[in-house]
Amino acid sequence: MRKILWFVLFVLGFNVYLEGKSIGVWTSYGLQPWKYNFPVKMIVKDLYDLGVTEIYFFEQCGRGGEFLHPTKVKNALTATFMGNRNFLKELLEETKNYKIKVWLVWTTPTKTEKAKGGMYSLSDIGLNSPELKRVYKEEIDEIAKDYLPEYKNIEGIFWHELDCSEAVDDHKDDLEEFKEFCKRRFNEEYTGSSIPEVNPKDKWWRRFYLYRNEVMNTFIKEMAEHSKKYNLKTGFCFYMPEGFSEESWKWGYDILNLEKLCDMIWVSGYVVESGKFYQSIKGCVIDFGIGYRHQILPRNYSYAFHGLPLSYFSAFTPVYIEDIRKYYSSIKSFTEQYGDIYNGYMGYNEKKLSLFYGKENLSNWLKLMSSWQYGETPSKIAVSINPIPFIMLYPISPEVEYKKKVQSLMENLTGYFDIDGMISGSLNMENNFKKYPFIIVPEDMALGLKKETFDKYFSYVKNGGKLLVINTPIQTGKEDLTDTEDKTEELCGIKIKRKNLPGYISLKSENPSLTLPEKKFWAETINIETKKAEVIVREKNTDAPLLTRYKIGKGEVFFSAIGFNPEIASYFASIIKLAVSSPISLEDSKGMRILEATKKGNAICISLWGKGSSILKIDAKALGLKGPFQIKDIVTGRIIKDDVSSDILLKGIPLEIKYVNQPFIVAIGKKEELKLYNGIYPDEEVFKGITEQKVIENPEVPIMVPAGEGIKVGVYHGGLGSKSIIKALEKSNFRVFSLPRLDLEALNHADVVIIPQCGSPKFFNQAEEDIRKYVENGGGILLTHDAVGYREHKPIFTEIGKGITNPERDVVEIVKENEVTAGFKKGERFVPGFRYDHIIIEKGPLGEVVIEDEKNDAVVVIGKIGKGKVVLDGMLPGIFGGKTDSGGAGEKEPEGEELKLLINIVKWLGEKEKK
Amino acid sequence: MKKEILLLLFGFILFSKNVFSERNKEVGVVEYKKFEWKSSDYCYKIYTKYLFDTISNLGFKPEWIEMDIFLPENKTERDRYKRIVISTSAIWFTPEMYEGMDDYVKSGGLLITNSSLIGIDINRNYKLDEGDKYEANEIVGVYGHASAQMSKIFVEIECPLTKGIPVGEWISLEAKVAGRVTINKSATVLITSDRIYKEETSGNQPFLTYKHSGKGACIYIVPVLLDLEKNKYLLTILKNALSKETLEWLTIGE
Repeated sequence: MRKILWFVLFVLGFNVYLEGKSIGVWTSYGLQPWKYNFPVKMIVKDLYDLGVTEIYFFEQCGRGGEFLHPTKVKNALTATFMGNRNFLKELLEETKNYKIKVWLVWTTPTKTEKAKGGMYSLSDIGLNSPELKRVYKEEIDEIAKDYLPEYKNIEGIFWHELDCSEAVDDHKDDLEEFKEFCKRRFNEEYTGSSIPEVNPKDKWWRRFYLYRNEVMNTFIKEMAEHSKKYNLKTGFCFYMPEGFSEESWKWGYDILNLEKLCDMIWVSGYVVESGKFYQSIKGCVIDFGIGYRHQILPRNYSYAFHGLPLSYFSAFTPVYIEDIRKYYSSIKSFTEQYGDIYNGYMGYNEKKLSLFYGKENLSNWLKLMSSWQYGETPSKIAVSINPIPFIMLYPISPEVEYKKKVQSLMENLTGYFDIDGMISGSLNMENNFKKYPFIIVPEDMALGLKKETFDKYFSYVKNGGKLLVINTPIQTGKEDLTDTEDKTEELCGIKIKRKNLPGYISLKSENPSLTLPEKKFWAETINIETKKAEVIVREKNTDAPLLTRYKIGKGEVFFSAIGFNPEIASYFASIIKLAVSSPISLEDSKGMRILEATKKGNAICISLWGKGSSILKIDAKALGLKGPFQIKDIVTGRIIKDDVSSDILLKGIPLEIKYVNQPFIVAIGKKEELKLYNGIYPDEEVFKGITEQKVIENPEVPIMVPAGEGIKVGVYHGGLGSKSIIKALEKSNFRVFSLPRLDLEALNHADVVIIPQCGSPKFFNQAEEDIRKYVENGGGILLTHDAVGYREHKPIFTEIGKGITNPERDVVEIVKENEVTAGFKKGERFVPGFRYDHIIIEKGPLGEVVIEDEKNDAVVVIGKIGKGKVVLDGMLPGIFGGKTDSGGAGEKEPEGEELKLLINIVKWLGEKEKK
Repeated sequence: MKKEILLLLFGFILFSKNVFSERNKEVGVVEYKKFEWKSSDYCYKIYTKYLFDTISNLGFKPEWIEMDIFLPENKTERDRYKRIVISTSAIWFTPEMYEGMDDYVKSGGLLITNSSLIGIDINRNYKLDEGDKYEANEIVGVYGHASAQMSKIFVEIECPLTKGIPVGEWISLEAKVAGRVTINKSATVLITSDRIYKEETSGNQPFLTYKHSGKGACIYIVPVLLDLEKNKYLLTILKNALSKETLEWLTIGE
């Protein structure tokens, strides 16, 4: 009888799992294999089979392009390639049958697009353009009138990549509007004659940043209100500006207002820990991004066990492998540059494809992750960020400081605890305070707090919450960071006197629970005066207070005068242990960390990552779980341990992840509850060597070095501008040849190797070791644009430098006269052929800057490694074009100063050291 | 068997970190007699010997070391010194010596220099001749080239290197001091001074800097260390640079 009851409960429970799931998928009308034929029945059926509940349909082509329904709205175009078909109607018809909801994805026009007609015939296509808003509102009316009555499965309008519209709008024509904004919001006249230049110290620039946010918010507000008239929802594709290396302040993305305006906010959840902060945003949908290039696919899947609504980009690439392969292999130029689309362009070897792509694999993973949807987070610790003031502090490349102060903190502490994220001032802040008894405020994340947000933090502590504030003042103020008031003393019981110079420090404490670093370590600290707070840790030699505790009401605030760095992660973990008991923790972790955890019913799921071992400790009582328990690896179905008591869980279970990039999702619950998890792979051995398989690029292509005298220059064939570089250098008496691959054997054919930014950086990244060896053994190398070590290109010579951002600047200046700049005078300026941007290089200890841009940022850095030489060139020789040119960028031989520089570089690189 | 034990013992001695790399010598002053240029003898007596004697008078027991200490073959001996001091007249070193200085700092040493270390003895002949050149030095992080004078200083921040000098206010020096025209590239400026170039005041410049690299640091004292009895702040700076507190602060001390 008991067994039957369990079975009934299990079946009911399983149905609840299936009914309660939410999986959204991005889809277009069909990628190239189907051209304009839109195989709607196939797509919808396959998505239904996969368990998809919502489709995000790219209903507008390109940026501000044609709609996929016949439209009569003035200044809107209908996609003529549809012929007599109506793709939207067909999709709605098909999805209606399967009860799949449809979001209409619309992408606004951008000022850099060269398109004509439709929206591009408007006099202004900025997001603040009344004309543009009129077009979209009329489109909403049209959808409501022509489709909504019949198709109730239209969920709403999903606004896609509006950052691309806002970022390229310099607002030069909006000076009066900006002045009006300043007057209205800050009651102060802006008397400048132009839009302020980016400068974090200038309140007018900060107001301009807020003006951009208002342009975006107003557009969304008007669209949302218009949609609401028809009960249509509003969705927003949100990228996290604080974690980007570019000038993301230009995007106009203000999460706190967008949260209020939208019903759904889409965010990526696969960028290391960054998505976590947005999980408690109202209407959040988290994408695990398996359709993007160069992902660590098992990690993307592993990040998806948070129990919240899921999404993935996109419907085609992970499923229709053969069709897509066949299509791309028929394009000669594509194959020449990338080889196979999946191996070369996407960066996935056959083993990865066989394990993580294809309908069956995807279906298995979706079932697994969605079975935990609508569970709850068991975490008791959250890291809180305050992104808008942070971006105002670091507008040029916020990623650099964000990685140091937030991402690294999260990544390292997840080696000890299950940690969540939250955003100060969000709608769910009160709920978060209830969920998390311990909150960490990282550096620079408590500036410019609204008074009411500060009050909420204060009440949180007063009511028993605990805070750890890391090396940062607590400050309230206006949104433009004026009229600030220091609240550190009120909340933390200490006063910040000044920032110390970084230096080596040693710690001492009488508290035996703290893990103090045994050795001295280099740290950034601040000088604090302890007012009412108790000192827990001091500097060994100077007695300076470094960790304090201040009690307010039932709670307490810890203040660390030391900034976080990974070297002392165990010290920070011990502070957390001192303050809060985490129901899920790792002890003695050697490489393993917790990506996500979800509790659902009487079971818990923990997604672990990183080859290595650890002891997983679970406080079942605190989590309200009842045993005896089974512990299972639900990826393989392997039972790790059976009949485990709460006591044993509390003592800890030793776990091991055997292989690099092995997904390891552990479920703990009663045996019956875990019965449905039979595993989606036979055992962990399938993951052996998934990172090892190297694809040899063009193995059959011989290397033809021209005979004769002169420096032998190999130019990697897969780079942007390679062909033009070869042509240009051939005229300068070098022995130039195309390098079909980047292994050591191939590289050794050349005295100098040129690797421009690669079409697919997969082979470049794979060749990291060989490239270094080649240089250490005496080779010379020139890396251009992204290949200097930016975005998807690994930084290979960090001692010389690496790329950090790519501003849209186009004037460069010689700052050093030497062999590389021979024939130029110091201070001489020129404009390179490629004028969209250049990569700014952060110089390493062995690098020497020879060229800077007009803002004195390094663009060309040279240096020596071992017996060889390196030139990192942030420009892109061999490619010409700029934003204002018609026809975009294209290959063209370098000329003038750029050619002179290129020849100098090759000569310097090819010159052997005279000893 | 005996042979094996001896071999093992020899191997242990040879590779034991503690035997050869322990920093047990307090201060070495680079003698800089080997490099030939027209004023070498004069400069040795006026600046280098004076600096050595001043350090002795401050209670330290400095040792003379050759400029060759920075060559790779002398790494073991070099790394015994907690601090190495270079006088203002030690201007030219070979590229290998500069690499050695860099390695000394990165492996935990404290390099205290009164020279901006811009001269490169390209042909490695220990002579100032054709081909030798000047270049900003990454170890120092400050580019110091032509001559300037300084008459007042402003301490930016209190720290072991500025201990005993008033912070946050311009202080007149007892006497004008000479030094390089300096431009900060990547160091931390602790004291700023005015710059009198060709008898005219032309802005401000670094007066005392440090740059942390790897496990150690390089301190650059811009004013020429001479007649310190007449300039108490300069003496204080030198004393601070050699202090245990500074060593603790800027080096890992392994």
